[in-house]
Amino acid sequence: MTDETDSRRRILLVEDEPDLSDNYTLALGRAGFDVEAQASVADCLAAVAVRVPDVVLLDIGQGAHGEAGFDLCRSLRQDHPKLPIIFLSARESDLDVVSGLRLGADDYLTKSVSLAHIKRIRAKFTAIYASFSGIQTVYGLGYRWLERLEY
Amino acid sequence: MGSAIGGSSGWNTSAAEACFGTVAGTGAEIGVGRSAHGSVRLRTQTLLVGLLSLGVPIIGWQSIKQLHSSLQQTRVDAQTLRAVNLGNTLREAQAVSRWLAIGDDNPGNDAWYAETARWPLFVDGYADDWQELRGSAANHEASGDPPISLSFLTARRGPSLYLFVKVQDADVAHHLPPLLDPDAGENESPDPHLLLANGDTIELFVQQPDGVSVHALFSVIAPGPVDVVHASDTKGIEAGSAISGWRAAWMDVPDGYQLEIELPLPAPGSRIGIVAIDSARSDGPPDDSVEGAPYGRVEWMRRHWVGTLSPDRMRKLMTSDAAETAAETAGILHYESNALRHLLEPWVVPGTRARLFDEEGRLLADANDLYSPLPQNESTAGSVTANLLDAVLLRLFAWFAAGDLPLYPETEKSRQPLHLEDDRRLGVDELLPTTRYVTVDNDRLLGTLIALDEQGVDRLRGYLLYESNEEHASAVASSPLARLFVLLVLATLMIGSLLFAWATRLSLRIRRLSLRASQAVDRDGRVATLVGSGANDEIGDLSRNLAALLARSAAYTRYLESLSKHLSHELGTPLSIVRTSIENVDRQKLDGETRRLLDRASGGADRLGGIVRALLESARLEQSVQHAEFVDIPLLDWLREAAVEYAQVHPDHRFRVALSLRELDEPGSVTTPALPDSRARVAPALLRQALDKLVDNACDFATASDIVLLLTPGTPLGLAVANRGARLTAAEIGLLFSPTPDVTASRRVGEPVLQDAVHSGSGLYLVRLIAEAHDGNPIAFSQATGVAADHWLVIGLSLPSR
Repeated sequence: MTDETDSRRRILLVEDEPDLSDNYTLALGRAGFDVEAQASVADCLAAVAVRVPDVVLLDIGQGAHGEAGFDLCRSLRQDHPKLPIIFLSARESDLDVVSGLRLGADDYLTKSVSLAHIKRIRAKFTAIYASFSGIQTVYGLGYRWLERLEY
Repeated sequence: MGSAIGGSSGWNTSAAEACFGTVAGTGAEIGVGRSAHGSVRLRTQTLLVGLLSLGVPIIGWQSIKQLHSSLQQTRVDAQTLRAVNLGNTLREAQAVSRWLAIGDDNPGNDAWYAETARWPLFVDGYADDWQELRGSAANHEASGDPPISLSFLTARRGPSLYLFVKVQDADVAHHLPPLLDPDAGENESPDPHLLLANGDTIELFVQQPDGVSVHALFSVIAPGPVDVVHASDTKGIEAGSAISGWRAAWMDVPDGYQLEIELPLPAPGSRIGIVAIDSARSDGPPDDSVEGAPYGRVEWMRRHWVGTLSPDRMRKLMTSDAAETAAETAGILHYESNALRHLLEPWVVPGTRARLFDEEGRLLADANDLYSPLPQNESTAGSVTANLLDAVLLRLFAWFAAGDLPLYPETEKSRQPLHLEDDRRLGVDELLPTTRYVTVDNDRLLGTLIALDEQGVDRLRGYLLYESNEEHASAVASSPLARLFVLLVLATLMIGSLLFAWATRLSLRIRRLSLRASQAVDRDGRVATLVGSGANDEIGDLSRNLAALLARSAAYTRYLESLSKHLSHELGTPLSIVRTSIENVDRQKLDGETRRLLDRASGGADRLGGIVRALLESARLEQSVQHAEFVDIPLLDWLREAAVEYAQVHPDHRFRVALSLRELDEPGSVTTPALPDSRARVAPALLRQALDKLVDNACDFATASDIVLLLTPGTPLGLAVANRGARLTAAEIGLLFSPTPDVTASRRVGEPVLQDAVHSGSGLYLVRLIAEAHDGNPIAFSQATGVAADHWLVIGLSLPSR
């Protein structure tokens, strides 16, 4: 895959913090992604209903509801089993990681990650799509874990 | 020992000294001081209240005692007045004066006091029925060949007088017939009197106050009943004629003989005398020491006597009309008078006793109702148990109220005294005639002793002793008072005991609450929950309030414990905003000054991110420490296995285990034939986590490949990792185990240990947490190696032994 191929990928960003959402949108847009930012679970579901994105970048905490991201992940996974979902959260505890992955998320990124690592996000896209296309089915999750440990 | 470096927190050095020996540096114990309590404890206060409460019954007791004393004095006065009146009555009675005057002519001679026998006396010559009498025998001895002695007891019962006479005579002769000369002339026959008493005899002389005298002779041919005959011819009575109404019995005993006599009771004041005559044949006239008379033609009858009156004197008294002659020599008969007792009896009520003694203290009358039961009526009737209770209460009351009393050997159970003791007679006091005393049977008596003098003449005639039994219901007017007192004492003791028990329970509850409160917060500041008391009193309220307070404090502590985690979470989003905002800036369009400022902002965000991660990791570690499982393991074996594993993970370093600091530079210098006991109760997972951090730290900063896992057995155990490196400064040691690394400080000193502040700081804070979870302390110090600028850096933790 090439950057051009990735740049055509459409990312649905679910982030209730406007500044952070704008920064991610800007950075990902500069990186060639087509980013659609949504600030709430309802808006996200509505957007997915209109058009299924290539990847969902999902914040776990949504406003006062700290577990809303998990509920959204579960809902998206039920409707779209093959939709790649990456959690984006300030939480770094192992419990959150395990919970997110057990709910069907494909990967987990912390917000503290620098935008300099966007390239790695692109790599994740590559890996995720490779796993869905059967190229890296065997190494899928383990690969993502190993990749995450590089941070 | 090289130079040790004390950290700013101090505990590093002190713990190191405890585990590894003397380590120079400063140290200070961190502890909670216990302030002294200057105020009076609640227990003491309650005790004081209890004692003050006891003061009320004490005052009551004093009042009762005072009332008892008043009642007692009233009773003393009443008894004194009663005794004085009785004494006046007796002084005016002619019979009393006559009886008291009996001994005037022969003072001090009490040999003829006839004790009143309470049982019949059988005239059989045996002494068995005389055993119950209390008087002592009068003894008379006479020298001679053989010597003889006489003792006798006198008693009266009914209309008779009894004598029991015992004569000690080695040669008893009942009958010695005279040897008559066949050619004797008219005047050569034996003396008729000698023919009448030709053996051992006893003669008794009795002269009534009216002058009627009897001289009786007791002589037998063989032991047995005695025919009592007149011993003298007088006033138409021939010697040898029988005396009617007199009986006697003779009994031989191994050392002599004994004679029991019964005769009509002579009037009191009668003159009386007795003599025992020992008879034996003699070839010639006796010397002057013995009496003798011709006995037949060729023999003499030698006789010698012992007794109160000589035989010849008795004969002369029988022929003399002068009673005064007898008064000079014969004894005077005394005994108790029924007439006098009848005079006393109207004054004696149940519980009292009146006795009349003559001048010499001889008992003349005894009206004894001291132990008679009260006539039953509504006020005094009661069950045996109630009476017994009364007696017990009274004894208790007397014990507390009466104090020590003089002891007199007068008791109902022992023999009745026949005489008033000399000390009591001499101590008679007109001003204080009534005294209280106790008998040997612990009977408490109130006695009034009054001297009776002759009316109009200042001459002592006798004594009146009037007594009342204080334990007798009728005599003790204060029995209800005594009962009240004892009940008061018992109630006071019970109340005092209950009060003390209550105070003790109160104190225990408060102490228990205090103990639980003091243990509610552990040394890490964690607050344990406290179950509030269910009591509805103030202490229960205090307990519940304390429980609520601790619950709130525990919640707040939990909040503080989780604050770093929450803080890291909450800081994550704004930090990401800052960081992503900075990174989204197109640096190519910025001038140099703006880029420099942007770099500073980016650096600050990085440091803040490091702090947030450190806080988050610390929170996780604290959680894992709280849930750690402790087991008993041999640390040395455990450490050796760990060394093997570390050698595999870190192939660039050489790992070895040492048991002392000396082995750091000299491996194997310490040889221990028997491995030390290194067992300790630890959480192996936690300990391994701490050791991992220490080994990672040592590998990162070691300037040589040797990594030493150090274990110093003892109390406490020391577990540390040593590596070669630059000497640590005090500031660095102070930051080693800090939960939040001071990056600014690290940059200021620029030492390698703190260049990666996040790594070293949070990792070694884990060591501190794990050490404290084991009730131990973190330790860190430097040890010189002998090579300049090269030190052993020893970092670890101390653990209490098993």
